[in-house]
Amino acid sequence: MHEQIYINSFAPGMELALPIKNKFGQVMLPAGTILEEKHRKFFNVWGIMEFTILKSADDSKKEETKDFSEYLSFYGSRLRWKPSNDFESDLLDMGIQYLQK
Amino acid sequence: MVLDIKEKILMGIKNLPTLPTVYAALSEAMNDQMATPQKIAEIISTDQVSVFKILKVANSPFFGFRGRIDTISQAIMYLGFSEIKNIVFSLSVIKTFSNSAVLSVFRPIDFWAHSIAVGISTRKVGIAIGERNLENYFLGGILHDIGKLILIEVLKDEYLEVIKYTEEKLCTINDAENKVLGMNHAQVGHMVAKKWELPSSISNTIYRHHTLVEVSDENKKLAAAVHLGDIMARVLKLGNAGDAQIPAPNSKIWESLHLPPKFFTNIGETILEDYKHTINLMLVD
Repeated sequence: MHEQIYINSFAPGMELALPIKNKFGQVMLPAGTILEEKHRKFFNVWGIMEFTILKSADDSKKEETKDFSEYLSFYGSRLRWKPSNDFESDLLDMGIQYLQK
Repeated sequence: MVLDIKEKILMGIKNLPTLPTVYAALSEAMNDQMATPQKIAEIISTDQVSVFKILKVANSPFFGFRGRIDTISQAIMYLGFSEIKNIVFSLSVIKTFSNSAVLSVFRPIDFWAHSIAVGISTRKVGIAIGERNLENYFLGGILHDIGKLILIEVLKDEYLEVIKYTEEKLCTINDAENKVLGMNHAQVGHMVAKKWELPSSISNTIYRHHTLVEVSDENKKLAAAVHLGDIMARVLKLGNAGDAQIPAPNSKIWESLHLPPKFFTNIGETILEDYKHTINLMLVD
């Protein structure tokens, strides 16, 4: 699974899912590169603001389970489906945000 | 003679009360291309209770003219013929059913509270997607479940079975109606809309607000907005839809509506404020 992230979320150990290319299409960093601290400077020098990293299946599953368990504990048996896009998550977040007030 | 469920429902629709005369006169005048705002204002003014309520609703923050509308003529000028006609219609329907049968677990006032919340949410969706003809968005939401009132009125005990079924099976009331009655409120509401000669955009929206199948292109956005408005009202626990479930949104609505990101969390507070205000205006005499 891929995730597009901004430079402010940079962390050593992330794995590039897509190569970083310059404006001529030349590969500057190939897919699969494990990012190190030195790459932060590289991104800053080249003005690269966002990049795509690989998320492990475990990470994705952990995140999804965490989100859904939050919805389930709030809505209980009223909810019998999992949000499958950002709109559906936002819809359920609306209830949590305003009913908790 | 013992009537079966379908016969009872058809009989109930046949015997439905007509809507108050002010609405009938208004509809006729609005179909006349020569009708002036003064003529329309005159018709509405024949019912002073309506005038008072229409002005209250027209001045609500929901329409954005808080306290600036003093007369029916001004209301027509600011909100337009169609919006005024729909306010009159909404108030007429609520008034017509004010003495509806009461089920201990599903009171008409809670039913209307849910319908008003759906009307408000649907209109917010309409605004967010840049819809220019917003007048049917509120009315579509208000009327989307009208079939339930007829079913309660006509069937009473059998409808208690429906509600019991939703609680036991944790399903939506639409599914419970299909199972217990072999018919659902969307079908019944569609028949009512036909009897009252409502515009096809409204009658089709009532018919298809759960399934969204076979909705014509011109009604697609309205039907999708009402479908979503219903779920929004349920998420925010506004009123009573007859069951406690939050149904999954139909996956097609996202591509037909093109809502902005974070629409729901940004609009939730306004919906709650408008709801509190509008409930008082429309349901309290």
